[in-house]
Amino acid sequence: MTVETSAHQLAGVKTHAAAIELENVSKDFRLESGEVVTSVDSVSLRIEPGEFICVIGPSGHGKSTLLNMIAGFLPPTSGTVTVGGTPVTKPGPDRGVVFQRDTLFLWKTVAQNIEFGLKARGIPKVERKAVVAEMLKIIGLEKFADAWPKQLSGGMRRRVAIAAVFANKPEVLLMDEPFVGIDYLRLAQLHEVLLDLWQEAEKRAVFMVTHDVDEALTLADRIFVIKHGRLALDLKVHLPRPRLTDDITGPEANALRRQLLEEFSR
Amino acid sequence: MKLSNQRRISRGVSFAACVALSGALVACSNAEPADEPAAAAGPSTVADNALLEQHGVGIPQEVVNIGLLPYADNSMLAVGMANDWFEEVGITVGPEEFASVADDQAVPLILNGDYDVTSAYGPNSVRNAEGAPSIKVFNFIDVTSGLAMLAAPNSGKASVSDLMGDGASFEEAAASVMGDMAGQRFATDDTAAHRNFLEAVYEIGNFSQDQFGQVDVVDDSQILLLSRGGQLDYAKPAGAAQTAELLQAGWYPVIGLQDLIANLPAGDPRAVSGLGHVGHMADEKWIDEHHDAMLRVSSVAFRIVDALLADIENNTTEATEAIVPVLESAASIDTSAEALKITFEKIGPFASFEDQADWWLNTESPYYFKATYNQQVKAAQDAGVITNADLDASDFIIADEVYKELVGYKEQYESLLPQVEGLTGDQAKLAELAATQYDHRNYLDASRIIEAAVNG
Amino acid sequence: MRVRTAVPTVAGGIAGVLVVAAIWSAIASVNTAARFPVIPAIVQATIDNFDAAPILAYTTFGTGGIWSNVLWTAQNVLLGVATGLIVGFATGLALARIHWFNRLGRLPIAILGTVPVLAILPFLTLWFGNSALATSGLVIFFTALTVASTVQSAAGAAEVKYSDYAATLGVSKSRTTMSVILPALVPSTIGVVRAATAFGWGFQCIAEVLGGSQGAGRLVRSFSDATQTAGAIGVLIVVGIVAVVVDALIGLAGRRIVRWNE
Repeated sequence: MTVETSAHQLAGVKTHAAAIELENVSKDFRLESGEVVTSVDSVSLRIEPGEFICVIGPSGHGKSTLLNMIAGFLPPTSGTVTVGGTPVTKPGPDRGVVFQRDTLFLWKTVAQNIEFGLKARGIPKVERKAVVAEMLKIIGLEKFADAWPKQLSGGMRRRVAIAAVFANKPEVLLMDEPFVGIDYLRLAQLHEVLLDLWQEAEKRAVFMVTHDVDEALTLADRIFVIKHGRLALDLKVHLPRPRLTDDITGPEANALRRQLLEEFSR
Repeated sequence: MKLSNQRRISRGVSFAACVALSGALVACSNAEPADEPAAAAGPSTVADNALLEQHGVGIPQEVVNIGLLPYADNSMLAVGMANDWFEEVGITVGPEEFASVADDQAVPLILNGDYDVTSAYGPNSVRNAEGAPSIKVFNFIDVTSGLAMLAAPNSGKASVSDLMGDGASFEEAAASVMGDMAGQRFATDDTAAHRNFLEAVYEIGNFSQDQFGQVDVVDDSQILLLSRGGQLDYAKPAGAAQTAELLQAGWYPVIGLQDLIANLPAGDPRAVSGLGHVGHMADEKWIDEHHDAMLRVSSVAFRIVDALLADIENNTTEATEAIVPVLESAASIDTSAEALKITFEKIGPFASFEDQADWWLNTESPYYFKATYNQQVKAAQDAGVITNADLDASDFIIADEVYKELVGYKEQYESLLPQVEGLTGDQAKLAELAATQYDHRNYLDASRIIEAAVNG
Repeated sequence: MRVRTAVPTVAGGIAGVLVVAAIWSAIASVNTAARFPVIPAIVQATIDNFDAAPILAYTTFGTGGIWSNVLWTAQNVLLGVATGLIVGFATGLALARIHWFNRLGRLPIAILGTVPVLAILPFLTLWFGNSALATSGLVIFFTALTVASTVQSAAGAAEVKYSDYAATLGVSKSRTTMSVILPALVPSTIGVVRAATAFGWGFQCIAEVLGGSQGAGRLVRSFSDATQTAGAIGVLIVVGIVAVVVDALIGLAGRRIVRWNE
């Protein structure tokens, strides 16, 4: 999508719409006591198509609130949230969300779960089946196509949940701590699956909230640090892809890690 | 190393606990009321009992647990409770005065020992004759002949008496009245012995029960509910007060037992097909162990009959008044002493001690108790409900023996009465006390006391 | 492997029944037949009255014996539960998903939920007479209320768990109701239907005791009124066996329907 700003109009330059853009967005909550708490405070940020963003920060400092506003679950108190240049007013299929909680439909098989969004939007059967087959291949669960979610392990269910969102081909992907509680070995597998799906999805913009610095360094192009509801740090990650162990433990990664930890302790 | 210190109950302890619990269940189930310390009867409530005791004819104080069924005549002992007539013969009424018990609870409560005496309806005793053979009816106080099929208010249905007044014969009138009932909704009480009446009416009216649109066999409280909800076209309740309540609401009889009695030939058994009696019953063990108390309860009952008959004759409600609050509370109906008096007069005539001779002594009378109840026993035998082919009314009604015993005491008193003349001092006082008891229908103690008076 | 695990359970169950029978026999040996009939008498009374119960015909002009009357009661319990299920399910779902209905209906339904079930029996008689609807009315009432309450809660929980996710997949609200909320309600609904059926036996029998002309409850009453205690107990035993079988069948069907459930 092309958007012409006033300055660029003069220069005759066209700019692409951001995948996600927040302009001076704030969110206030009124507590039961009547006190008003500002969860997000005048945040402005711009995420380009194809960027993988990880958002980290202390608990309760507004990360999930940011995600929920982008998803359309919460309206901002002030400011504007746009996705692909279109203001966000409510949830929609252009913003796929992988929730922290398990959202797989227990009464649908693995294949049916992945297919559900496509079916709801009227995608023809042949196309749906092809997408499902592709997703199952990427996440390595072809043999479990007809299994019930209850027959899968936690890690397998996470893979299906992510695949179900990717299958719907949303413009942006929002992920709210999708890998909490997963053990280290399985986490590496899930990161691999996620990156494969991201690649397959032509690298759509991803906005992922996480507590894990290593995870952010493994996955992100940019890392946002949110503290006290504000964007405290916007850190570019220039590590090569795919990121091997050496890359994540090397000097450049360590420097980034130090910068992040210093920001936390400030 | 002990990894867990989980407390467990050993199998042995569990088993012992189960055995102990089972033993307790067995023991409690058989706890005889007589084995338990008797409820304290308290000091004597009999006037001058000290004098009586001095002469060896004291009236012992006893607690008798009495339950009343929720019908007008069944609640008649309330009159005695309200006027302390039980106390006058040494009876303390328990568990509390004016206690009401439901129809279907009376027999179980006696068998369980919660009650010693409850009111009884003769036809209901037929159905319990085989299942509860220890339950005995020891007196009757009235005859109920008020069974009638009532039509709904403003239904415009003619009655047998209306049609006969227009010149129809009894059979024609009955057939017409029954014909009107085809396809209609009918509720009847569930006293099985009353089906004799229904069968007589169906036969005379050339009608079959299948011809009704709907038949509900339910107890009186349900009949009242159905009638109030407009769910019925015809009703036949069991209780006189419930019948009176429907009459007050505009229901009216179209055919009844009175029609049969008035129009059937003399000796036709169908005329007594719906007859019933109200009285009192107890377990035979209690009767054996408290025989005199049972006679004294009967004496109070006969005294109450006299008082209720006096109300009817003198157009007063002195005695009847006591029944009203008991009945209203137990049967959830609205009534008055006046209404009850009319009911007693028309539907359930009380029979005084003397008038009952026909029931107990005159074996040729159509009202002899066996004539009525052996017919009902036979119907139950034919229906397969009573399997004992030899069962007889005297197996569950002992009121004839009780009546004869009371007659004996009465005659004994009367035979000694002339000797009372000229007595002085304690003897004269005893004679006076005997006379009071005699007037109060307590023939047992009247004869005992007068004997003490006369023989010193 | 299944037989091995089933045998101890079945053996334990039989042993339990034998223990109860032993205790009963001990009690019966020191009591009259009217209060505690011996087991052979109960068995005999059940056999004698299985096809035809003279006491029922005698007291209520009713027909049949223990078996046909227990089946009649079972039929009414199941019909009552089915009716209550439909009414309750629709009500609960409407309360959860239709805002104006929730506003209007929440309080009246909450008040109805506090009414003791047996207390409505006189009203059923007044409004519906002694029809099958009135007799099954207690079962319908209880089932509808418990299903409505359960469905409303479960729909609320499903809404919280799934509706945001469904929205992000582009699923419309009506389709979310049909394809997401409804299936999510099935496990809890089956659970409450099973419980309602278990309670339904009691309510149906009570309604028959108080106002019916036939059915297991009426038969128990007829036997009791005649102090034929053995017959009354025989009816209860047959009711118990049929109720257990019905419950097992519902359980089997439920496990099949929600075989996907955790």
